Amino acid sequence: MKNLTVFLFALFLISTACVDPFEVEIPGEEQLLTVEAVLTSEPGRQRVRLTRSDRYGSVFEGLVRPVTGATVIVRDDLGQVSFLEEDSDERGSYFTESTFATEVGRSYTLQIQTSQGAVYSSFPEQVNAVPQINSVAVETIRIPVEGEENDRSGVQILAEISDPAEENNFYFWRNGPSVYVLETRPDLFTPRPSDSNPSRDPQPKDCCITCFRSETVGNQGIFIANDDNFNGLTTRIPVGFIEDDGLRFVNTYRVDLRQISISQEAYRFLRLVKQQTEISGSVFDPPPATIRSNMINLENPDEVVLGYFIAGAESVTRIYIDAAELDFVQPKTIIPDDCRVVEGAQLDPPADWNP
Amino acid sequence: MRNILSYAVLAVFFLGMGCDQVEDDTLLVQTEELLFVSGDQVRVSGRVISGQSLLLEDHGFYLSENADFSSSKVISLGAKDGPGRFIGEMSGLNAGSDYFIQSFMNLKGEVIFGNVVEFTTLSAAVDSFAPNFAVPGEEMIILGRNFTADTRVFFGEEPAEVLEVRLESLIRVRIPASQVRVVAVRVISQGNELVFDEPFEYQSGSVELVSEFPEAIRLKDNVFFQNPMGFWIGLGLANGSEFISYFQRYQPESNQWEKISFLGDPRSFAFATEQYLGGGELEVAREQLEPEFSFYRLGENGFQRLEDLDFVSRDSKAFEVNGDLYLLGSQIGGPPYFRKYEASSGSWSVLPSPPELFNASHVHFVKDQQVYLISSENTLWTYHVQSETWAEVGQYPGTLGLGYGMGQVIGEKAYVGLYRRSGELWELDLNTLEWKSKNSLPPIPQALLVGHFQHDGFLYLMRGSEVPLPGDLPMKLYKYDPEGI
Repeated sequence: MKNLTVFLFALFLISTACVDPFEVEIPGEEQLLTVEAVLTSEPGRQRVRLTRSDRYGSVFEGLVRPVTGATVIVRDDLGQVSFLEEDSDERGSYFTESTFATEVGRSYTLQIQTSQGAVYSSFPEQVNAVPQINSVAVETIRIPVEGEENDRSGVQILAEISDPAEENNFYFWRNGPSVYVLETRPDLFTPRPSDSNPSRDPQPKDCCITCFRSETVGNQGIFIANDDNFNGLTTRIPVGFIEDDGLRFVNTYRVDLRQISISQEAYRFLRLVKQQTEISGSVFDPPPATIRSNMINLENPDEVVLGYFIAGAESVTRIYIDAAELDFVQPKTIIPDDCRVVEGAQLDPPADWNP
Repeated sequence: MRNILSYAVLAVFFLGMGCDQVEDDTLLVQTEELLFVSGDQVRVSGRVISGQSLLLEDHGFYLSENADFSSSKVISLGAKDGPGRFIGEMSGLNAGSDYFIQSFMNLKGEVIFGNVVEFTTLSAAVDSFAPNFAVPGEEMIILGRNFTADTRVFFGEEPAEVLEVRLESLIRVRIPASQVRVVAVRVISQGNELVFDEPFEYQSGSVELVSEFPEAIRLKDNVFFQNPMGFWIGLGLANGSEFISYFQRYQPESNQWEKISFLGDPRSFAFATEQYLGGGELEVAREQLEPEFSFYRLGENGFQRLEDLDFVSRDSKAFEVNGDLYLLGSQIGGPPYFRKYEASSGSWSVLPSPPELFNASHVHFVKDQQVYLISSENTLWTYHVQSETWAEVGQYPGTLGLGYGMGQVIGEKAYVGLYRRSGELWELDLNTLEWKSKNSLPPIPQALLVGHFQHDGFLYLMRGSEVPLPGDLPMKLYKYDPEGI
């Protein structure tokens, strides 16, 4: 009985002594500025995309809206300023002049003044040299899909790079524009019945079976690396994945592989984004979190800004993938029409098509 | 007693251990990164790091030109509630100078400093300016970097009004008036003078009214030409109804007019060059016009009649090269013609058809063996009289008005414009074929160019108004200096 009294007394102390009320702060319904910018040493009209995030909710609450009418500049550490112009067709996208390119050794800051007068600045992004890709190999990846008879599949791109030993390097790979030989079946063309042509019979077309289709597809995933494990060595690393949709790998597929050197901070940001996007529901997953941007509001440094301004150097490697070299391809998708009607398709190959 | 002691020990244990909360006593301030450095400004971020809530009396940065922070300036951001990032900014720095900056916070009277960051302010530099050719009062954009707030701009010695220095890299200025046509553009930033290699050129062209036509008439469809005896204006219709049979000749040196009779028939739409005159149409009865075929050569003894034309020439484009006469035009409803009169043989020959229709309403000018013509589509054609070849060499950038403009050559420059109802005047560099606009002439309602001449590097322009326009509007002779400001 005495022991029971002691136990109850102890339980009382445990349950009452440490009550510490926890104030749950629910974030306000803010629409956060989101910055997407990867500027590189490859000359061209490079884009900075500004949007306002939408509020999270269980129902569709709105749209991710472009931030229009802002003044956007990129400035290097020598004070050279490049003014970006908003594209009239693609609101919220601000483009540099076509000659713009970052320089190795320089650092860049992005500055944004919104039409409401708020001024945002990035922290300086240092541009480091990037090595060329030594060689590229491809391999087929099959991804089983639960409940589906056919696996998903695609081509994984493996790059061999020689990492410079004298510095800590961080890599980011993206897919540039791609072109592939598109094959369709105009002989199977059957028009949709209409008043003027009510027939449901096939009406084969004489042309055209083979076209060249251009597209820009993002990488399926975020491909980044740091050289902690291969500093100064030559290594082979996955740098991209292109899904086989039954059209791309019928004949020849061409893609420009972009290897970009990024800063350590940008690498850390992308790694966190990668972790968050690859959350699978496992107990080992990292908790969802807001990943801090390198953009800050100069008047209110505590304002949460999403996205990141990346400045780096870039080397581009063009590769041609012959379908005959692949272990597995998806069954060919039949388009019963003239290949020229497919968006982005044209009859003539690009002037620099050289498989 | 033992029980009480046990309870007491147990209670002390739970009280002491159960609520054990590890206190993070980290407290520091950090100078993070320089967000922005220009010629006279710096923007830097700092951060207060603390594991507990705090209330700072002040925080910010110390800035000094010395590493020991003697005579430092303070960027005070005031009180701050809690840890976090802060941004400080200071302007009025000296370009190209070394500075040291460190963050600080004042907590309960104790000032704590962060790490020191050293930096150098940048020096101004100029890249480009546009436009490089304009008139006073227009805006110019100067691009460069690290322009300080006190930046001034000079056009030669003339100061320009600085409208804006945007983001230290773009200066908007209003172009000042100047007495010099070509000037250097100078940018002075904190006493540091930067001069563009490329000069700025003012749009030039000054005009002076030198005379009026000696009669109070308005001429139309007349002829004009110049020779060593002066500027000739005559024939055509006076006030739209009366044919005149004389010329008024102007001497630019004496600024005198002299009336010269024409013994031939009065006519309109005739052609005239330095030595030749002919064609056109004359009135044979009231409102009944017929082609005129008489053809004259003007020599020291006046007009000498030559063999009549064997073709109709009305409103022909006429020019002389090497003493030979060329006529371009079209008969009504007929194909274009191109004829040459050789002075040595006194005979006419037919030349291959031109690529476009030309007549007196089109502007021409002659330089060496090359004739330049501007078509109704603004195309600049050249015709080489020896090789008899045509070539398309450019486009006239101005407006063609209602035709009948001016074409004159002075040195290596040609001057084109002043078409009917247009005051535009353009200069063509005959070596580069680049066009430049010139200052316009005083506006005249429904302006008409009655004659144009050049003498001693100046253009002489007889202008009037179209006949139907009511009012006392005399024809005026202007002297135009293409290089004048």
